[in-house]
Amino acid sequence: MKRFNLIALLCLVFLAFAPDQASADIGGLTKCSDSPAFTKRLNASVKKLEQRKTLYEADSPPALALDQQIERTKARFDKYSRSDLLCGKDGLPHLIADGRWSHAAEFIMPGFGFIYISGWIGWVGRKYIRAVSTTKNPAESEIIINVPLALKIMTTGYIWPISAWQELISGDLVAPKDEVTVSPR
Amino acid sequence: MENFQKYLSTAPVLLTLLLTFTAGMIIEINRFFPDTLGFYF
Repeated sequence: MKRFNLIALLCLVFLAFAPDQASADIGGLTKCSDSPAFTKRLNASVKKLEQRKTLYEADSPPALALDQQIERTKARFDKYSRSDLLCGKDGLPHLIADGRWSHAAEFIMPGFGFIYISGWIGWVGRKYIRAVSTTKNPAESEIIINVPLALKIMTTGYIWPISAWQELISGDLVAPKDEVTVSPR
Repeated sequence: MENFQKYLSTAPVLLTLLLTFTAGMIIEINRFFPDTLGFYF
């Protein structure tokens, strides 16, 4: 426990003294709205689509479809230029995944969302298995799902981090050492 | 009816329904919020 505290303290110190720069210039990247290569890429993409449009009669289905694609392309570039995304020399947005808070929307938030949702799925699966293990025929309940019970567990699983913490405190989350089988040694 | 309900509750059928729903949901999210590169709206 003491060792863990030391590591936690070290992490805190690193967090507290980490340089927190604003969005400007990380690894030679510039804001997409200020990047000439980004604008060039927008113009090139639109021009290419417009050239393809000239191959078709006006108001014909392919021309209309290309019109829509041009609109979508413009909307995409507009969206990226209004965000905090940084562009490289290639004119493409680069995601900053080193954990700085000014770019949390690019990696930390989606990563957190991924862990939260996968934890939710795993937690309710475990809870269902444990719930049916006390019934008369557990194996059958794993093949023919008890849907009302499963739905109830699934919809109440959103507080899984708290439930998991509570189970860890009460010793219900992990099995005791003597219950875990090991290979002969 | 009871047998049909039981058939719908079997794991492969439920898995098919759930994955169909999930795939559809992801497709619709990408239709209304295309080209997402993070939580920028």
